[in-house]
Amino acid sequence: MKRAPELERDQAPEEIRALYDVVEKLPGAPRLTSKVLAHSPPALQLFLDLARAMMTLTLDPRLRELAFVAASRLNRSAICDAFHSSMGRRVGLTPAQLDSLADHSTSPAYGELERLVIRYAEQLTVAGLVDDALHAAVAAHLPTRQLIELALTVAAANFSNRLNSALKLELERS
Amino acid sequence: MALGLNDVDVDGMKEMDRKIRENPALGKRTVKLRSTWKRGVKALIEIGAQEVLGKAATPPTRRFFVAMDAPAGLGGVDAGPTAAESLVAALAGCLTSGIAANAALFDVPIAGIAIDIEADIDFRGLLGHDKSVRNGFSDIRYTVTIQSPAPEEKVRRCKETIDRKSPVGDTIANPVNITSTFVFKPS
Repeated sequence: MKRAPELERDQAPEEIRALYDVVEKLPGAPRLTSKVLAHSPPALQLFLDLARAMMTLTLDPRLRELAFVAASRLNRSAICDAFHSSMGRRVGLTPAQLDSLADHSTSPAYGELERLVIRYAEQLTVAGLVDDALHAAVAAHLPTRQLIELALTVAAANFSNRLNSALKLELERS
Repeated sequence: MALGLNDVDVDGMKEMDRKIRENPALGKRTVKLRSTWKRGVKALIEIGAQEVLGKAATPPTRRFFVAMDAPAGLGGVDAGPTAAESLVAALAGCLTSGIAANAALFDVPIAGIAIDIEADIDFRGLLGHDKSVRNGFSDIRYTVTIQSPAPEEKVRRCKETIDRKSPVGDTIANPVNITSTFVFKPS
C-alpha cells in the first residue's frame, strides 16, 4: 500500500496545479508517481523535468529502454520494469530482448552495443561504478553526448526505482 | 505484520518452528544461486528461490544481487569485495542476525550490535608456492560488542548461543559435501 495518497489537481498545492496539464496526460506509472510527489512542489517539478529530458535524448530509445529495464529489474522495481518494458516494446525492443536480460552475455537476442549497454546498467546499478574497460568499450560506440545520456538513463532508473520503492508505489492490478 | 522486540518478526519465527515440528520434512531447505561472469574477474551472483520438498518456498519475485571482484594484483579492478571477503561477510551477517534473533526470542532488548572480524589467509597456498599452506583462511577471530539495558548474563547468552549454532560458522568450521558438474558450450 502506497505511503502517501495521490493528489488530484484541486488537492495539490496551488503553485503547481498548472503542472497537472502535463501530469494528467502522462501514462499510468509516471502519472501515479507525479500525483504522489505533488505533496512537494519541487519534487514534482524535478520529476517532470527529468521525465521530459529523458524523452529528448539523442541516445537510441531502444538502448535507453534496455538500460532502464535492466536497472529496474536488478532493483526489483516492478512498476518501473513494467512501464519501461512497455515503452521498450513501443520503440522496437523484441520480446526476446526484454526477456533475456539476465543472460545477455550469451543470448543471441542482442548485438554488441546492446550487450555493452546492459552490462553498463548492471555494473552501475549493482557495483555503483563503471570500470575503465567497460567505459572504454562503450565509448568506442557512443559519442560523448550519448555516453552522458546513458549514464543519466541508468542514474534516472535508479532514482525512480528507489523513489517508487520508498513510497511503495505499485501499479494497480487490473 | 506486527514486528516483535527489536523489530524482529518473532511470530514468524515461532510459526516456522511450529510447522517444522509438526512436519519435520519441511525443515529440509535448498537455497539456489546463480553466478555469471561479468568480464575481468567480476561475478554477479543472483540469489533466488529457496525450495522445500522440491517446491518454491519463497515468492518467485524474490531476487537479490551480490557483486564480487578483486583488487589489483588479483586480476580485478576493485569493483566489489572478493569472494573470500564475502565468505567472512556472510559469517559476520549470520552472527549479527543470529544474535538479534536470539535476543528477541530470549526477551532481551538490544540497543546496538557490532562484530569486528579478522580472518588470516596466506596467498602462498593459492599461488602454489608452498603445498603445505592451505588455500583458504586458516584463522578467523571475532569480537562481539552488544549494547543493551538487560543484565550482562542474559546478553552474553544471545552471543554464546549463536557461537554454537551459526549455520555459516558451522559450514566454515566443519566439512561439507561439495560436488560439481561441467557443461561445455562451444561458441
